[in-house]
Amino acid sequence: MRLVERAREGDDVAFTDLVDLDGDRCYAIAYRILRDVERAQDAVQQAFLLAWRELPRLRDPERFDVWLHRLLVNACYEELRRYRRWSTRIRSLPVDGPGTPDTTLSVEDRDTLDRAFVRLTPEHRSVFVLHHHAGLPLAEIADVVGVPVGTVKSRLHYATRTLRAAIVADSQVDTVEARLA
Amino acid sequence: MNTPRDPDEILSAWLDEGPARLPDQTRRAIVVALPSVTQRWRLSWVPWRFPLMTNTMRAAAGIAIVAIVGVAGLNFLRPAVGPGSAPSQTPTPTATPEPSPTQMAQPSAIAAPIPSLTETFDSANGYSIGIGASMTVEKTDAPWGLPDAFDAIVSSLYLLRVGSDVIPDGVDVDAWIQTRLTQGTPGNCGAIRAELPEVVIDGHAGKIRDSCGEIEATVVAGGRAYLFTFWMPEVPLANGREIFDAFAATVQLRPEDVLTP
Repeated sequence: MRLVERAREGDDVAFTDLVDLDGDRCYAIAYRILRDVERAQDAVQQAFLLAWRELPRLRDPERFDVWLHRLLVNACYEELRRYRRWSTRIRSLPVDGPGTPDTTLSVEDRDTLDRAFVRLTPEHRSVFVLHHHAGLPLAEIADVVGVPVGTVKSRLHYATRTLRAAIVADSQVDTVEARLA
Repeated sequence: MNTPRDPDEILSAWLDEGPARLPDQTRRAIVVALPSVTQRWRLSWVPWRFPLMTNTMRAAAGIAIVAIVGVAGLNFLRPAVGPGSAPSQTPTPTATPEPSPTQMAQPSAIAAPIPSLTETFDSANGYSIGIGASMTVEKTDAPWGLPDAFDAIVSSLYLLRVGSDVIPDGVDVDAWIQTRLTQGTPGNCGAIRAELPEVVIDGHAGKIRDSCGEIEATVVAGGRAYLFTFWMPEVPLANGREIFDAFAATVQLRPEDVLTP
């Protein structure tokens, strides 16, 4: 909390330390919401610069993490809106490769989930990622995205079910194809 | 051929993929941009005193200071007990959880108390249901088929979503509900409605599914299909069906009371 307090007083070295501490986590979240490395980098940059600008308004330094997550999610929403406006449907792959490539995940699974995920609304995506990737409790997610916890549950339910359904549907197609072969 | 088909395992693996480290150039770009971004509401911007103060302003400032000191003094001397002295609401420090690759894996099930459903919620969707005193209800105003087109009854451990829609004339009811379910809440966990076990809610026959960490019933009454989905988002409940049945026992289906927009 000391870093936050110092940064709030205008100490840019302290804020740089905060970027070092929280940057990776924010980037991982942003990438999973946006599924695009460059837009994720833009969203993280936007969120941190906004955090620096608005930090003196943060009354309680202990809420810094929740507050930063909120800025990050809003930056991701903005990126998604811009992406839709200039939609080119070009998918950018991680330049440094996947962080933890999972050999058990087939190309078809990955493609199926990617397609199902981009059909979710930004609000459903963010709740899903904050819960299943960042591990935030639902009450904290409600605080981050600014909706009641029931809405968070409802969105999480829908998103999880949509993605699960995509896999199940895909495997049913596989089974039918295997039978026909 | 050895690809695992457990949907949650696949989801978890997919979610774990992706970059984990913020590129150095982005980190540098943030740091380099800091001097050009002015912080807002810096206290250091406020001058210690305004250079031009009239006598009236001085008098007003003096009165304000006396008033503030007086109020602060009274608050300080007042005993800090009693019904009016609520404890200060200091938010709990937020621990930042590490991304967990096993988030999708469900923890072991627990048994939750069977709720006491003493209050009634009347929905514009043409049904009423009992709810517990500590539960909240979020009514939908979205049309059926959209992600949020459900009433949500929320407790700390579970969520019950309810929605309804008119069944068009001449359709195969099972197929139509299946399609609508797939459209509105996709997946249906691979179950074919016609093959699901029977359930009766408020004297009306329907089908029920208990899989994928949720219990879902679809019931037809008065030409209207009702969907009840009971979901345990964080902790699976060993007695989830029992709790669902407790809710179902309080349901009254009243298709004639649906508010049409």
